[in-house]
Amino acid sequence: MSTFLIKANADGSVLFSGELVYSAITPGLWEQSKEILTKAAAAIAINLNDVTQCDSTGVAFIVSWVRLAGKQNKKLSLLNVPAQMRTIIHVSGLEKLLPIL
Amino acid sequence: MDKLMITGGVPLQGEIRISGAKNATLPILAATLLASEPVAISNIPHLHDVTTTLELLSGMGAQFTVGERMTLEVDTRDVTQCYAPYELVRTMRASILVLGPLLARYGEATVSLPGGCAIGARPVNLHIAGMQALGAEVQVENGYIKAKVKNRLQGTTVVLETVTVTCTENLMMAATLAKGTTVIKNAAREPEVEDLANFLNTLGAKISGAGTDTIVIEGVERLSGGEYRILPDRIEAGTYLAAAACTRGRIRIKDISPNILESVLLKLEEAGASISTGENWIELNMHGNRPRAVDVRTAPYPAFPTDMQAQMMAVNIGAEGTSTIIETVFENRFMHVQEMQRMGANIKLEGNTAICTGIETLSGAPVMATDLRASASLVLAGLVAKGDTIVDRIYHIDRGYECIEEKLRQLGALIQRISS
Repeated sequence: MSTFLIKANADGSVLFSGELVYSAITPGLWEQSKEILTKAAAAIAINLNDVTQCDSTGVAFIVSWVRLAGKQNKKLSLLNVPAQMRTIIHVSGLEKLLPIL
Repeated sequence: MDKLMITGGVPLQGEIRISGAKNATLPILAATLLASEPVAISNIPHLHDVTTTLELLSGMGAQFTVGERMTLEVDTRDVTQCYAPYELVRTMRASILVLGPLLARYGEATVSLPGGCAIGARPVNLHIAGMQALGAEVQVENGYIKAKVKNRLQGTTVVLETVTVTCTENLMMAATLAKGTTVIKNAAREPEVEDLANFLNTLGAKISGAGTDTIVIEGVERLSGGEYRILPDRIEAGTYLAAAACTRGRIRIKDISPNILESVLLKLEEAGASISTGENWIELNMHGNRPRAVDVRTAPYPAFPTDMQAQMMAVNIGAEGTSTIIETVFENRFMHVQEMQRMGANIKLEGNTAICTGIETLSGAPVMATDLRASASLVLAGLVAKGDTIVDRIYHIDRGYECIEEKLRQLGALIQRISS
């Protein structure tokens, strides 16, 4: 099982760390994501600096954050997007959808 | 030839379960050829393509046992015929998936060339070049790919010219038993590729990077047996959600992970659907409203899948407003357009772009299915049209949708199979 963690900081930022891959995306992670998004401020910055590995399902997980945030009228931004993630986003043509800063 | 008769106008309501993914089942069944011990696979859908694959493996000498809860145990220890005949391969292009496993495990393979494909060119030259790169001698003679290798395949780096799911899977399977390390660059990233890698790793393979554009396979000498559950079919799930959106209905689908069809959910929400999700379910509610037109551009996963393009068009032709659908994956995947036009749809084609102006009421008509997903889209159009629609040549649908009429009836649709 891959190790992936989400941490909500007091300043409103969210830190993703570890391997954001297929095996990491468990139902528990989903529930945690919903809880963090519900409690978060109107603008949420996700720092991806500590994501060590990412696959296409990991990018799909970020798309789900965008969708869930949109439903709650919250604005998401992605900081420090790793190169591997950028490649997948580029090949899939998701640059316009994902709010990369 | 069977047909489906649909009387449209009923908003879909209710709950259904999603079957195992066809696009994961076929490669995983082919991969059982690599195992030195029996393998038990669950969540296998009852589809024509699955039956064809079992027939193919059976002809080689594989044995099957159906266990509890419809688990299929596959034993390939007695395989003696490394041969995939034209009669089977011509009905299912995915048959070429046996090429890699046969070569890797038995050192030889004779596989018929698959022939034409309705949705566009899907050449097998990348499969052949990949096997050659792994050290196989490959010749194409009399319509057959004849491949052999002395001793073991040799690990190497393969850069795929274009991103192809089947070729990525074939090479990954072949490299599993190769000597040394193989790196596949520009690999396909679909969840079904990851599912195959997970399956192989369950049997003792050493594969990393599946789901990214670079897959690394450290060859092992043998694979053991094991148990595996096929992942849910994201395209089947998307198709039923689109059907509910078309008909202004409210449905819940279960046994599905929402994460694997996020791009589709985004588009359906844009079309006006309220979507809620849980651990293993998705609910869509149109609140009785007509969908809004949404622009779609197909691209590799996790973007909007080409396998959902036709179904999204079925939503758009009855939607409020005008939309564009851009198909970037296959060059000839708008064959459903003419049939939809017969039902009154307002669609203009410009190269790889379809411009749909939604109309309030489609009218039922006899239509003809041309490929798997196009067929599904015509069923969706029939569900929303006024009057009766008869969809002919539904053998395409039976290749990829388990019990489609039963599931739609469960959701309240007026649909029946007419055998002739």
